[in-house]
Amino acid sequence: MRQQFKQKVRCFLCIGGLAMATTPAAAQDLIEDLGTLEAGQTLYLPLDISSLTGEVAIEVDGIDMTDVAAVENGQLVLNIVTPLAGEFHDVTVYLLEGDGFVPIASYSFLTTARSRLTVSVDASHEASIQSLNSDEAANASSSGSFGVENEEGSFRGQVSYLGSTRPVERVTENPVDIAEYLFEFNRTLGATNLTGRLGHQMLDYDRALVGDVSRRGLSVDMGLLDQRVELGAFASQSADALGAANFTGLADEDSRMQGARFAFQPFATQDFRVSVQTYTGDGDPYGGSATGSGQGSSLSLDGTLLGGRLYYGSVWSQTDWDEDDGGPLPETSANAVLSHLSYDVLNTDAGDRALTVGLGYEKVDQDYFSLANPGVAVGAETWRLTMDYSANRFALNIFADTQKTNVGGPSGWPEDRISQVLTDLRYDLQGEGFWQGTALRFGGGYIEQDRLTTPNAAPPPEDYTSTTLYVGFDKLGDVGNWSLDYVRIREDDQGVLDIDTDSHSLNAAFDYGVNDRANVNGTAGYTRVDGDFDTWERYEATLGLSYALRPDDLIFRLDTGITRTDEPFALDGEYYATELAWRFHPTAELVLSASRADGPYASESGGDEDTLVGLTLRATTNFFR
Amino acid sequence: MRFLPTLILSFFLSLVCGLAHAAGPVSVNPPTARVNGSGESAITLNWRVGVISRAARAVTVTSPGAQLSTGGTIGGPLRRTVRHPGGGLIFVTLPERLVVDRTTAARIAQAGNAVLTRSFTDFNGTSAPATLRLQATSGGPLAVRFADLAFDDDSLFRVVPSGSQLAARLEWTTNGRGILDGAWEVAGPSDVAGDFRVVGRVRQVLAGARRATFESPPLPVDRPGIYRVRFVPSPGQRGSFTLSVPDLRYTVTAVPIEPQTPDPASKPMLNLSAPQPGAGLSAATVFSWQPVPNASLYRLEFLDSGAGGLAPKQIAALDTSERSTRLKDFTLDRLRQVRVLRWRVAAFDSAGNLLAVSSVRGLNTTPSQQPVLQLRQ
Repeated sequence: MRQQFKQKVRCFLCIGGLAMATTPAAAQDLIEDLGTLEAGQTLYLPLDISSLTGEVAIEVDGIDMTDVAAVENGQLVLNIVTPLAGEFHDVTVYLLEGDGFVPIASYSFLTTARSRLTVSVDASHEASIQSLNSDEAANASSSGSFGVENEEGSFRGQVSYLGSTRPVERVTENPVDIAEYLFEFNRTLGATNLTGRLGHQMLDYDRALVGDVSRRGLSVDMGLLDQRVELGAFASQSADALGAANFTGLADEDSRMQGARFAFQPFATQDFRVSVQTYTGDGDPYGGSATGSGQGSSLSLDGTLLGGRLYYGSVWSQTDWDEDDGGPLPETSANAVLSHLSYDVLNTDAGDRALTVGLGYEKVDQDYFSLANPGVAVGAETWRLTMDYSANRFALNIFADTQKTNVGGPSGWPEDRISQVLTDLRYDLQGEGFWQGTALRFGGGYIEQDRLTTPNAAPPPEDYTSTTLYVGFDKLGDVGNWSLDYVRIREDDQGVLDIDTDSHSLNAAFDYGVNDRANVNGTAGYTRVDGDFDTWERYEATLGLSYALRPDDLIFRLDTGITRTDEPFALDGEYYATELAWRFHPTAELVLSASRADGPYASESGGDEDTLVGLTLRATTNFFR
Repeated sequence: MRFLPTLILSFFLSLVCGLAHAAGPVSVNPPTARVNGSGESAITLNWRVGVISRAARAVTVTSPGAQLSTGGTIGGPLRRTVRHPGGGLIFVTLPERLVVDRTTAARIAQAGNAVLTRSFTDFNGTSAPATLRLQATSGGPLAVRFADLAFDDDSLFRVVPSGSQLAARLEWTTNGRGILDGAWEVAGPSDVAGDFRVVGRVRQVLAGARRATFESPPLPVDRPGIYRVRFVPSPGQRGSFTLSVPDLRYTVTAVPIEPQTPDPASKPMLNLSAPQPGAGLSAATVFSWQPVPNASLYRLEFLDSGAGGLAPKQIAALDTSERSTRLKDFTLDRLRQVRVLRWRVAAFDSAGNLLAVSSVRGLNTTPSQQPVLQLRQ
């Protein structure tokens, strides 16, 4: 007899009165080896569940598998069908005590033989002859990635590369070059976790000063005392980079920044955290006409209250920035405050329903700028209200904010108030027959701009309103999918220019598996824009067909598309492309292709029309050991 | 005086041959343009140049560049050749999309305003300079302060096996207001389809100081080879913005010719319902998604950033047969150690075969992204 584990344990709870056979602390010290699990085998956990009272959870390699566990003949069983990474696996059994789960048993098992070092190569190589508008050329390319990871997971690395005889494909000016890379080291020394990274990595210390950018460089993060104390430092290039030049990202002093972070949780029983960040650097992440120089510091507070249902966070940041580093522009100093609260209105016993409301306040001066977070929106004071509700078949998101412009900016600039409300609604119909797998999407937005103050010689008011409405269907099926979307955007300009526009867009897409050999897909779109100065329409359609002339190794593809428009500066055009791919070896194929394109689709030659005939030999290298 | 006979002779010769023409009056529309002081912006201008010719002939009007009163040259050379019908004055219109970068905008903002001057020549004469007043403001047309194009794991180059889910993200920080109108375009695999083709469009109103993220449709990964992906503004849009982000490249490996399975590029993509990008994470957070036909199990997976081309590391996961779930405290504890967190859902059949995968969605413990309506065009 097999039944869902959760139900069984709740049954035990109903009976009650049974004591646990082992204490959690004693149990988790013993890690029992369950041997090797072959593919398709069921994993039996030798735990005496008859002695347990309460809800139990099971985790395999950090994956919560409670929902797929079962009880067979009084024994916990796991029929693992989803993939597990690596060969060595941990199982932890938890028991709910009070508000939290505590581990009561630990196991390990193997799926296959272990290796000390995992090396992987994933690459594609091509050689082709091509005739583009009767100009013949021979090309070759190779691109891929190399990965390495050791047995303990304390070291892993990845390097990707691209080499091509075609300049437009290259990642740098060099015919062959590396693209991105990252090497990561993890060490645990007593109670200290140490992580070092070299290469392209995310910098994300806080929301205001160092955050949300990927840069090439070096970083170290250290966590002490069960992560209550965190230390971090980085040095990196100031802008995105690819290629082997400036390999570490630290060689160019005109494009280099460095920073550090210290975070501390003063209370062992609460997650209240204080962190301090700082940075200094030179460079220009925008590709502007001058190299700047700047520094900054920030203070962040965050944590939860009310059993984790109230989340709060606030960051204050100050930056100094010289846009042209010694040039005629003066150095500026500016502040930013970003704060938010969010509260889960419905508790965890609300089942599938969740309602979260949020309140945010942001004030960022016009001159605020951090090289390590150049994407911060500036020059506004914003109040924001959000509401996210989801239930079994329904999701609703509401976002509203109002902001005053030119905060911390020149006194001669005007001030406006911009308010907007956005809503998104999704409803899964979950019906039978035609309605199975169908979802409805609906939403809209309203934006209004009003002038607050107009100094002398400042531009006149630019008041306007904008309304957006959309509705769409998605349908996923066994052999086909389709979607339909309609969007309307209306802008009412109430300023001096009074340029109003009204646009409608209707789009459809489908994908259908005709049979085992044939698949057809397509899209169609129509856009109409009515403006006071110009009115235009655009029709677009694509159609794709694939057919297996011989199953598994010979496939024919046809793709075509057309655009017709009277949009200013836009071109009409169409394309037809066919290819015949013959896989003559499990890792190699020969592709004969022919295509014709004109108008906007003729981008290969940059002319009015492209006619291309090609023969490509392609091979793939996949190596994992 | 010794050159006078030569000049007179030249004048009469040109009259006889009907070739005399000289640059006439010049104007620009609009005469005043607003430049947002916070970022890069583009202004659409129409220069109107008068050309005088007595005889019908081809006339080429050129301008080398524009001078800015705050210093420096902006705008590239302009050139247009028209057929003059002869008989006097005609006007030639030269459209220009003038890009004002952020540093130049800051200089104009410091001065309050600036004057842009451009002169034109038709080889026989140079026009009087035409001027355009650039006025710094906090509003005006849409100005891009920051634009960043990357794949959904923040990398700039990806190597993915055929059949994977792959998407690109465009992150914009803007001031001013206008309509972002553009297209996601993909070229590849290069040796069989080098031309760019539209795979999705964006038409969206943006206003005020915003940081918005736009995600591309699923990128094609059905055929091996090298692809390029880019986001290009619509050629006719009057939203007056520019975008200077490089193309991304990605490589699809493996040679799967398995026509019995649907085209992987258009394979059902698992749609996520909640939470929204940027939502907070707590024990009450419900993760939900749209059901996939024939799926018996879903894996809710949490990943770190995986930048640098390194595969995102799975921090924690949850297997469930339902289409929505909450997290237990031991999973939440794992996730709270990570600052940059993403999640996705994969659907499996009863034999463990992968049926569909969602896109990767950001999950911030500190909400930093302002949501923008993701309209499908």
